[in-house]
Amino acid sequence: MTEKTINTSDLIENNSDYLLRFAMTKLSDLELAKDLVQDTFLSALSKLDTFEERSSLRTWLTSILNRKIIDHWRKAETRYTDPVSTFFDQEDPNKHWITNTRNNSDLDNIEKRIIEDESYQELSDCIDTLPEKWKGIISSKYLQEKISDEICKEYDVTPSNLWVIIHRTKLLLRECLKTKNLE
Amino acid sequence: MKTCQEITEKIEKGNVRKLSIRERIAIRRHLKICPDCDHYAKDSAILDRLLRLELKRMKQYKFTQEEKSALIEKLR
Repeated sequence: MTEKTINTSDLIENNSDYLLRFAMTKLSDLELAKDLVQDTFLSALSKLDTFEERSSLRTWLTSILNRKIIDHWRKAETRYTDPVSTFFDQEDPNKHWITNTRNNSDLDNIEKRIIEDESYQELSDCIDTLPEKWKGIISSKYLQEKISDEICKEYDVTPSNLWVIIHRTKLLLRECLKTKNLE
Repeated sequence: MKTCQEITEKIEKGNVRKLSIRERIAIRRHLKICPDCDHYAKDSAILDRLLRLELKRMKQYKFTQEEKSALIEKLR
């Protein structure tokens, strides 16, 4: 068997920023993301022999990084307070909306302004307040456009967990955007 | 009779799975009489668009040149 060799500097120059951006779509912590990218290169170089050239090098690196991110979540997973009771009245048999969280403000105006002024900062700040696993899930869904079955498998959630998480995510993001626009 | 919480969860279910006719009718009926949930349905679609936009824009995170050199050194 011939030993596969690779130019380390090229490998890093060509892929590190891409991998870092990928990691930051799923994590909030830049230092952690940099560490995981570094670990990814370490693992990749140590198992270069297992790289099959069916996939591109970048795809292969991304899949190693993705596994590291998921491992991180498994370890870091903490109980997240279910925000549902902040939106729906749990005492009411109809679980109606709690009045002060009703949305009379117009998200469509907020959307227009964000697009016109290219002011994405508030939106990305709001996304950063989400639990990391949820952030990963929406990133797989909206950025990588993965199909739901794949997302469920990747994050180890059932389909009904998935839509409940998306529901909660949207409630939180809407609330966050609204609050920022009142400031 | 479904609750507001269930109806709005079902709206998200509909983006993941195909809903039964019964479910779709329940949603449509509820939205007619409940302005808050109707509002949620519209906001949900707006958030889909915003999330797609934001995540596609991908923040421009980069390693500094020093960090890259250190990394290369380490992996040699």
